[in-house]
Amino acid sequence: MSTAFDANHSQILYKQQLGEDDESAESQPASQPARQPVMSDEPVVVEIPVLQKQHHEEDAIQLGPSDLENLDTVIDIITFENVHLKYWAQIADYYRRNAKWDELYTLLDRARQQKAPPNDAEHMPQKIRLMVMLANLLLERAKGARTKAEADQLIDQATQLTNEVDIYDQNNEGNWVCKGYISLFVGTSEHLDRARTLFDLVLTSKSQTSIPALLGRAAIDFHKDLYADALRRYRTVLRISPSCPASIRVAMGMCFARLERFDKARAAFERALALDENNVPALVGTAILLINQKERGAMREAVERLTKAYKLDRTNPMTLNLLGNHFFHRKEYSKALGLVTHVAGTALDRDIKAEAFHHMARIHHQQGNLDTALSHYYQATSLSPSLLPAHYGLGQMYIHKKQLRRARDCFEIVYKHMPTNMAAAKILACMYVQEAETSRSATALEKATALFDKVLKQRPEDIEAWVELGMLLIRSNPKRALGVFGEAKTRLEALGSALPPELVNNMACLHLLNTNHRHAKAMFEEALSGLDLDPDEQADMEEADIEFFKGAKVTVRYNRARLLETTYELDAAEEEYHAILQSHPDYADARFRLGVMAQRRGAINEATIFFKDCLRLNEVTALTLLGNLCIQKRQLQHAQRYFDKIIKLRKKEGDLYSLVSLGNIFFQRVDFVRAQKYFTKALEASVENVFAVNGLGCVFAAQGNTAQAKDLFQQIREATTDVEGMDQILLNLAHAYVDLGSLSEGIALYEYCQRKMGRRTDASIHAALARAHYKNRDYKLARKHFVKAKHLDPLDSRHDFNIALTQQQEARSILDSRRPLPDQLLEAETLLGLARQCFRQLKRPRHQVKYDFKRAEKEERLCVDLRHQSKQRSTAAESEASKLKKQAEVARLFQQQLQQREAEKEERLQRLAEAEARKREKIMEYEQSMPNVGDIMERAEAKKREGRKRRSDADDIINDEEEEPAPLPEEDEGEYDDNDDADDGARKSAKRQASKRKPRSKKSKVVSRREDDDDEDDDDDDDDDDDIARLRAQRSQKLSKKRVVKSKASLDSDSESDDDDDAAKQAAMPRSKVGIRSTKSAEIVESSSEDDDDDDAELKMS
Amino acid sequence: MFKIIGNHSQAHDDGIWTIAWSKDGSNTILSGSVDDTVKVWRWDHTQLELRHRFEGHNLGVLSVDIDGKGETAVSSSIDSVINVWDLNGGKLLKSIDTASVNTWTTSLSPDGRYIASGSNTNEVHLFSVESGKSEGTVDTGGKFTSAVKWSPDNQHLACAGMDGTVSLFNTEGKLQYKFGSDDKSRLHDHSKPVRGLSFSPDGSLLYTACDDGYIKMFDVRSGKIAGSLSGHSSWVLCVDASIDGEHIVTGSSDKTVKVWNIKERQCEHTFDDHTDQVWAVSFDHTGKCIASGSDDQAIIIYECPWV
Repeated sequence: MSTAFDANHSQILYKQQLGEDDESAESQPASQPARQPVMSDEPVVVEIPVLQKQHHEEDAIQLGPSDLENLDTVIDIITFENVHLKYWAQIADYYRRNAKWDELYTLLDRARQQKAPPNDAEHMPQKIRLMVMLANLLLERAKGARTKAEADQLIDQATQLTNEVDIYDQNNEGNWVCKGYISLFVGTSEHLDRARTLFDLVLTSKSQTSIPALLGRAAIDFHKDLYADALRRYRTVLRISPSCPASIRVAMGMCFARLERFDKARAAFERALALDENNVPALVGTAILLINQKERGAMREAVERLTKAYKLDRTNPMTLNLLGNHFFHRKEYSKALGLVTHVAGTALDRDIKAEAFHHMARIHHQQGNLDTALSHYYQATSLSPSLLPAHYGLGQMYIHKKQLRRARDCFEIVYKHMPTNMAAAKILACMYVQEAETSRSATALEKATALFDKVLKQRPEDIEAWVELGMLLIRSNPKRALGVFGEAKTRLEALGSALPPELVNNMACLHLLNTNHRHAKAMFEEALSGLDLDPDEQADMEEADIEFFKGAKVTVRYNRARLLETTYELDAAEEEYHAILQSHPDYADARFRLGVMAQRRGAINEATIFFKDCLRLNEVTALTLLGNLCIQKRQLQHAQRYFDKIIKLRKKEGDLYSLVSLGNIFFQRVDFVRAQKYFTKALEASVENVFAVNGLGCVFAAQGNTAQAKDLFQQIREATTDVEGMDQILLNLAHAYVDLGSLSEGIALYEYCQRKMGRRTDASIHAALARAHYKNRDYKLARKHFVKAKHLDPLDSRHDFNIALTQQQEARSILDSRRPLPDQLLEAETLLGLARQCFRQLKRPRHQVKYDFKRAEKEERLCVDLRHQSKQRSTAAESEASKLKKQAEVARLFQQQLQQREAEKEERLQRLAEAEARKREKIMEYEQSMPNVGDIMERAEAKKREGRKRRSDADDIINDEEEEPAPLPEEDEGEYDDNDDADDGARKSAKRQASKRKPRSKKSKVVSRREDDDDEDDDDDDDDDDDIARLRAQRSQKLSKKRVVKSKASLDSDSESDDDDDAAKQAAMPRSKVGIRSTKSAEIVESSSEDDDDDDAELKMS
Repeated sequence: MFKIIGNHSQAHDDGIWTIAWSKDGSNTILSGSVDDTVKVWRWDHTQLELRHRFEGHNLGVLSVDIDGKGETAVSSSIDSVINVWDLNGGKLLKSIDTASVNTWTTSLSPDGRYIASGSNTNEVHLFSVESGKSEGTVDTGGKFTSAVKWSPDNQHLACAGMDGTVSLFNTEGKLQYKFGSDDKSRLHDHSKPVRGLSFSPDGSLLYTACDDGYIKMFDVRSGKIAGSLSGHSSWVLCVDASIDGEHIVTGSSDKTVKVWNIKERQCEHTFDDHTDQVWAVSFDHTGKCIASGSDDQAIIIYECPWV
């Protein structure tokens, strides 16, 4: 409506301008077709002097109104008589006053052609005056022109005229004013500035009270939004000419309206109407004010006035627009459409035209003709870029068309120009949320957050905005999200109402995320009780609402069950899931959870049934879980089939998870070429998929490029810290360290994984640690770890084999030592005895085993040999001991002799001091060098031994983690029970990654980091996320109902896309899972490079 | 109030895998460790006093058990050796080499006459304490018997396997029940290794500790599952029932010790004082005090508030 005022305003002023220097109020009727009654007793209007040669005296022709009716005659007379131009002017004034515009135009046009009589000083001023008048008239015509071209042509003519006048008289104020008005009409800001200069020129010159200049200046002020200034000038005009026309009052009324002094505005319009009850602009103005009162009575009155205005002038675009608006609200769309279509077709004023298009767009919008609406909104915005409601509507249309970027642009415009329009700010924020979700743009997320923050700063009572902000922050900043929801909750409670149960549910989920289980539990209960409907209530509700409540309740119950899982109240959780399924058999998530729980407690068949039941509900997820289950069961071909199917199903979107899973499957099947192919494919799809990188690392390691593998693992470690499944990657890195001989680093990393990453129950880590210690020739520690591995996983007989091997090796190290003590030898014997016993058991396995039982036999023989050796050594040691005794005796005697000799020497020394001193030194040297020689010999021997040993050690990698094809069928990696966890984790991580997808950059990693704690928790997070999203979708659908028509469209689309997102997420879930699986296999990567070692110490297990 | 009344860190040089608290009132506590020793302690209500340090095991002591009178104890280790100890004299009575049958954990009958030992096969072996000779076997039908337990009245022997099967035999070696889930209830049985077994004092209920995180209660008379408890976040490694018949205690890889109320089917208290997984828990003869042993090498003694 404000724009309406604007357009209307300038129009009135142009009319006024034609009053020119005429100060009488009555002169200007507001609307063109003048209906001033012609007076009956004709007064004389003009007396034209007639030169009569015969009479030699001046005579005069008196022309009255009736005479002037016939312009042609008049012109004939005055041209024939060649009367002075001033009489032309008099006639012109008459026509002007009586609004005989056509006559006036013709007259003035003819007047221009009048030649100036010689020596007539009066001719020129008159001519100028008439020319200015003509220019003004042209301007007036331009304003009424049907087409832009016509208007432009008229304006051109007018401009030419004023330029011509400038040639005759540069200082003609009337001309200045006229030029000013022309500029005002053109209306660009450049022209407005020029007009202002011109008006100011007039007003600062002698005629400071020039009313046209004042009015023009006021119009410019009005254009520049300086309403108070405009008002001041109008007041001046009133003071100068208290009886000025009604239109001045109208203009003042508009200024007041703009200044939001509506009472004054009303009074001004009423005064104008009192002066001229048929003043259409005043009628329209009051109507607008009445409409804005927004009450029924006022509205009726407004419509009455508009109807009157319409009767007076059926083409006034203002009236038509307003009436159109009225009918629009009364849902009489065809009527409304007729009116505004007329305006859109005829109006010249861009703003008015734009408004008409806006109305048309709204009507089509309302009727669902969205394409038409879009194009009309678009026209409206391009006609009048400042028509913000049109931008708003256009934005909504773009949302419908899912052209979100364009929609965002529209709302950005609205917000930019109306930063206080919180509705626009909110929608814009929602657009940013969308953008953040689709493009994972962190900036969009920040923008959205900032906008909501701003909205809330201004309107902290806007609970909806709190809620939206909370929703937004759920993923990026769950802690703050919780605070924000809390704020919404307290505010609502202060108002005596409660937070909707859906949101209480969200808060509970956030508490769950923050591992605040007690709060989470309490809030879930609160949400549930909030969703309880008593029958009376239910009777009052619509079917859809009841459905919503029911659905929400199931969601909350599901979430509560997830909480129970998190707190390991497993029976209760399962019971809840079963109960949910009883009432909602198609609730796939509950079924999935039951399957996962069954899988976790080892009930594989049960899990399979649950997952298969889900195939019809959520095929991709079900297939993923089934695939993982098969991997756990080592049914790799089955697993492969499942993942192949997913890839087929999701051909378009691609499925990272399945790619990585397939890579892992082929890796485990020792098909490294295909494994590498799949990992590479996954990497092509997403460069940052750590699990694909990890898989590649495993392939490298398996192919012997351990250093390269290590580099890859290290890169992952540096780039990402807390992806779920990181423990596996770290383990792989540790394996690589160990293979490359960095034993202490490897060991430290293993221990870190064991202690800090919840892998205490993982026998394979103990085995890996043992292997590292074994390599380090710390056989005692190696044995300890194998023993611990055996304790955790007693089914795996490879541990027995390894234990025996370490015992044997420990014994050998004793035997190999230079001078083993007798009890050391005894220990070696014991160890060899134990080892032998063990090997004896192992060489005749009753079941399929994962070690080479033929080797056990060989080792057993070796033990026997060694033990024999050891015994010999013991006896040898004994005899050596006695030998040593004898030697000691000999040495003692020798020493005695030496002492004797020295004593003699000393005697000699005393005699020959110098020479003897030298001699003595020599003796000492000799004494020292003696043992040295022995040392060197021994060392050399030791070196030899060591060299041999080292070689053998390097070769006997105790490969307790299979991975290379061995003779026995079941030689695959042992199944560890905790695999379940890992698998499960994998699934979760998939989910997580899915949810995490948006921010791909480093930031995303940071986000994911947060969920490293432990599998279970993570899992919850993601599922909760999903649920939150689901709830959100439901909720926002609900909320949108409450919103006004305008924003409804946008909100609806909002929720729709939420749904989509949810779906996408679920779909995404399986793939990201992949990651973990790969890690798992990575663990397997123990290089199996042994085989080619020397016979004596060739210890290996496949 | 639940509280810690004793904390003996560094009770062993390596992780503690097994603990038994005598039920005769002498407050003798046995602990077995990866460090290959069995230690005999006396709890004097303020601290643990080391009485004996038994050597002779290799490859980690898997289980220890004390007879009802507190006189004889048995221990077993991964190298398949069963040792019988005289607690009063502090000396080895007998060493039974069972390498041919791959002994795993053992249980001494409360009357002190028989040793039952699990193995890596479907067979559970019975040895006479007196002779040290095998007195026969029972066939569990499972794969690997990870836990065995005599009932307090010497009448039953419970065996559990790595595959989660739990079965009950009478003294004649006849299979009484293979515990399973009741079709009517939703309670499921175990599918993962069961590492701990304990009978209620009246022998009517059998409690299991399983890698699946559950503790199940089996009704010895009907052979059906009577209840299920969960709350540990990782494997449940061990379980022991209080003499009061109302409580049990469990230890877990999640490093906690939990005390459960059987009637309420609820966890009454969680101790999280160990820094590594808790492999062993045992009530004293009053059913009020608990000893726990962990991979962190410490033995902790707790007191429960009930009378």
